[in-house]
Amino acid sequence: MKRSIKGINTQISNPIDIVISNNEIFVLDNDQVLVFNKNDIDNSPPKRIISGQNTQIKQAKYIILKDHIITVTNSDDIMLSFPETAAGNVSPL
Amino acid sequence: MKLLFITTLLIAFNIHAQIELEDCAIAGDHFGSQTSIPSSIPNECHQLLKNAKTTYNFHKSPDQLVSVIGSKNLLLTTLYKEDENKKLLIQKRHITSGENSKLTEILAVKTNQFDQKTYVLNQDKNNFSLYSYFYNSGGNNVPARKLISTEIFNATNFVIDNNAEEIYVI
Repeated sequence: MKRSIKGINTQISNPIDIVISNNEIFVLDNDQVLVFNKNDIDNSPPKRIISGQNTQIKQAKYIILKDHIITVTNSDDIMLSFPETAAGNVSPL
Repeated sequence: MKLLFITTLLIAFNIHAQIELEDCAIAGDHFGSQTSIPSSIPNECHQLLKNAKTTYNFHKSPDQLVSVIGSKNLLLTTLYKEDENKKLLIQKRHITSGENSKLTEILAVKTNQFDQKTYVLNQDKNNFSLYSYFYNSGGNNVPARKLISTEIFNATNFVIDNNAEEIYVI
């Protein structure tokens, strides 16, 4: 293994899906998206988090990244899109 | 005892024609085996796998669509080609399973058009491994590549970074 991100600071608890961009890792974890730098290691905190009621992320199953848009699919197949740089309790596009 | 087991399977396949995904998985265990029957997997399993869609992935290139579905110990690969009317036609469909394939419990699958392979995250009891198979290979074939790491625990999914030639496992 080249490197790992793990520990309480990462806030990773129940990872479901993962996508990557050129420089970042997006982890769908419970009802939030945790964003890390690709070169993060050990117990690094996420550089930003997309989470909260406004995001409408609920029991999410999949995450995809295309054309700088993150799309999260909830268990009821509702798809929510966010800019790649979104952070915090933001509403979907 | 073995004969009785085989007979039961055959009855289930042929008379009741009500195959469950579990039956397909059992057939997968024997897939390609020279010593036991059935050595093939019923066609009905294709639809059962499509319905189950435990984990799936696809990619579309200008001339081809590749869809992969994994469930239990079965990996269903379908290659489509567009005709002149842009209609997708099935070019090839096959199942990868059996002892040689090493597949036991598929957790996640990813297509990778860069090397024309399907990558599979597999769990065998407490051991997690990544295997890859060429799109065109099916049956009871050994993986093209194997990544077996004792450092991977409770993995659920992964992504391939072709630019950096890395795989991230969560």
